[in-house]
Amino acid sequence: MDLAFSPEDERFREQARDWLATNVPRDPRPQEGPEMREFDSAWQRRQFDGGWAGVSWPTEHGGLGLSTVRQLIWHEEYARAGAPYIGSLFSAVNYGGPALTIEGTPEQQAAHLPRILRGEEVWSQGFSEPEAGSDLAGLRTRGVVDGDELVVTGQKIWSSYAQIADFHFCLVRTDPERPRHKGLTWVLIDLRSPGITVRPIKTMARDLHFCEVFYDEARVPLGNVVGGLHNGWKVAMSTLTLERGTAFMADQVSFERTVDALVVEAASRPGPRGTGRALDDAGVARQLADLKTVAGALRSLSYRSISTLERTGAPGPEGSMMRLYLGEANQRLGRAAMDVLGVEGLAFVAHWRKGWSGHWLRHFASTIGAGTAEIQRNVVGERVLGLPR
Amino acid sequence: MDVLADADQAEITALAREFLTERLGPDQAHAVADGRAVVDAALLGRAAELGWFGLGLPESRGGAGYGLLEEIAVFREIGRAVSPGPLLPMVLAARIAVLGGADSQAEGLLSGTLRAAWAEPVPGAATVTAERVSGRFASFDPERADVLVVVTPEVAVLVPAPDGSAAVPSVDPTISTLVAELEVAPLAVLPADADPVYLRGLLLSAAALVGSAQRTTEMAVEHAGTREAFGRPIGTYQAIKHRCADMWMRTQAADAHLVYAALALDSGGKVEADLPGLAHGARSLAAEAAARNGEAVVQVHGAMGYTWEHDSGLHIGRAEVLRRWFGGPAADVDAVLASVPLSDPRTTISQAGETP
Ligand SMILES: Cc1cc2nc3c(=O)[nH]c(=O)nc-3n(C[C@H](O)[C@H](O)[C@H](O)COP(=O)(O)OP(=O)(O)OC[C@H]3O[C@@H](n4cnc5c(N)ncnc54)[C@H](O)[C@@H]3O)c2cc1C
Repeated sequence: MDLAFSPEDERFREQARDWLATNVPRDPRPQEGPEMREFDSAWQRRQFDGGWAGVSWPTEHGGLGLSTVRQLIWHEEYARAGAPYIGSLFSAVNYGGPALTIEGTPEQQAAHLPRILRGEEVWSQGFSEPEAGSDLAGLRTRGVVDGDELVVTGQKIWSSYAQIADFHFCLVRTDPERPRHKGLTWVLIDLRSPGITVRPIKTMARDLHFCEVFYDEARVPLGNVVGGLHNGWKVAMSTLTLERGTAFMADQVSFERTVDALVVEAASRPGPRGTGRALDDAGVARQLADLKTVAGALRSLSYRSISTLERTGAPGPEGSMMRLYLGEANQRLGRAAMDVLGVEGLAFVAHWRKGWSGHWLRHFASTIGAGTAEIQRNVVGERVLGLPR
Repeated sequence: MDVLADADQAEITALAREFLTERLGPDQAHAVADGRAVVDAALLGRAAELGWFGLGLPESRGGAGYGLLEEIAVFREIGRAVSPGPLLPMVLAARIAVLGGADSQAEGLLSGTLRAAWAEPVPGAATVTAERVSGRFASFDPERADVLVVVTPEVAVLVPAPDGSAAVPSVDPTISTLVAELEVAPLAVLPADADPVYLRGLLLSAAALVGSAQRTTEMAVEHAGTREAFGRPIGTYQAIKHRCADMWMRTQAADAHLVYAALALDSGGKVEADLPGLAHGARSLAAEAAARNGEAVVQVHGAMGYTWEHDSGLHIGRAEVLRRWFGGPAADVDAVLASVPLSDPRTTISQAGETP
């Protein structure tokens, strides 16, 4: 047992820190539209050109081929440097691309993975439908094989960033005769194909974060099917495991900085009764101490998960709780921030780096997206603890 | 970087579990609670033979030469077993005596012939210095004690135990308690700059709390999988299943953070500078996990969980006592918040991380 990193790892950390110190963009990240995409892509390109993109991605796909420990170190330094949120590249870089490294053919990997790492391709996930959210296997969007094409008809919803994405990775029903989970196919669809309409949806946090995507006989080459026809459930499960498991590692690490910032805020504002500092109010202090501790625990859990991964090749069971643990902590953080700001903090501030109210509203989604809190508790209860269904 | 237990630690855990299950587990705790048994000198001597009281002390000073992580492995098991007896006070007293150079007490404590009990300063009403211990203290199991252990962030001392016969049963039915005035000079002194005995003790108490939370999770999951209501196992109902999931999650977080804090302390602060913040954070998660799992395990068991015979009451009482030591939850809040760098210009919202 050892908390210390190897000298090679420490050298990697220093190099990462140096590079980030001079390269992190200082302009605020646009929160919407083509400007956001441009910003996210340019920053990703800069990381790629600097030799820092895809730390744990295999080298044959343009990554650095390094251990998850190095990936963690990179995220730690990234957060320390206050580098921008990955934003519209989240789906491709953090779990869509990694899923392709596991499930894709060499041709598919060569066609997409280097482009993703260079920030040239934005992906959006098209799993959810109006009638299939938690119960994903109930999805109805049809894919009919016609020659060497799949003809897709139906509707997807809640697809994050679809309005600025190039590709939509979808789960579609290719064989309605088979049992629910057996007739699905995972396919990567070029959003510029004819027959596709994308309509953004405004959220409670007032941004156009996600979209409805309508398919009317859109034709997709069969070569875009990943993992084989009717095998989509298996591919989707490995996608979701990555999404809930390691995709949020960067967020877990940066959470601590966010908590620290709120503590500083509470130290510079008057308390709820107008006396002393907000930080000296017992209720505020207790909430903030809880958040600071949970931030530390998220790091400790990440370390444990990575240690298990390095030893056994598979992440430990704590992977199945991280997303939920972080999501609920972010919600408490939002509430605590509103308490710290009090009556003077009720203006709606969309931009994250300028205030807290948008952050508070945005995190109402954190127990819904990537699997609701209830579904994740079912997963822990049934798959980790072995409780009956 | 590797934070998983190694083979030695796994073996220590297995040995501790074996001994505790047989000699110092829930059965003995119930016996003590019922007044049918006491943790006597013979039993303490047996634990001493296993080397428990000097596990983390150097071999040259009569200890076993293990590190903090091994002590934590043992205390996790003690917490799981809700072991009766003054095990944490004994370990800390032995450390204070040995490292503080109080040789005559050291020998007795290491061999289990001298008995220690905990004395917690009442906040705002007690003073502890290397020269004098005075004011109000809550002591635990003081009746048969020879020395009291008083540990603060600044200094750790042993004082002669006064008459403890007025002690009454505490919320933990295996432990008695007495709130009384003390006015004595220490027998042994160990300043914090000589050894972080406060932080070590804090983490050992956290380990016992984590162990309790692990055990109550297991109890709840076991019951939820077998007890039936309305024709199916109660674990199929989400109100129960999700409660069990929460018990497990709290416990995982507390244990992972405990190990992280212990490794940081063991490295002497080389890896992570803010040791008090970390250790108090780990304790607060452990205390919360044990206390809330205690509530949950009763609920999952129904009326059976509310009975004197059930182990749930032992875990609940133990958690409530242990979490009040080392300054209690208020000390956790203060230490954790003190760890935030208020003057670092990078710690501002304009530099903070962003989440989706
Ligand atoms: C910000 C955001 C971004 C998103 N991005 C994407 C994306 O990019 N791509 C994509 O495909 N999807 C995305 N989603 C959709 C997300 O995956 C779904 O919202 C989620 O799976 C829940 O489905 P639903 O909204 O239909 O709710 P429902 O499934 O209808 O659930 C409604 C309520 O019922 C509960 N419930 C349902 N089933 C059970 C059960 N068995 N036991 C207990 N409670 C249950 C749920 O927990 C929830 O509280 C996003 C969602 C959000 C909020």
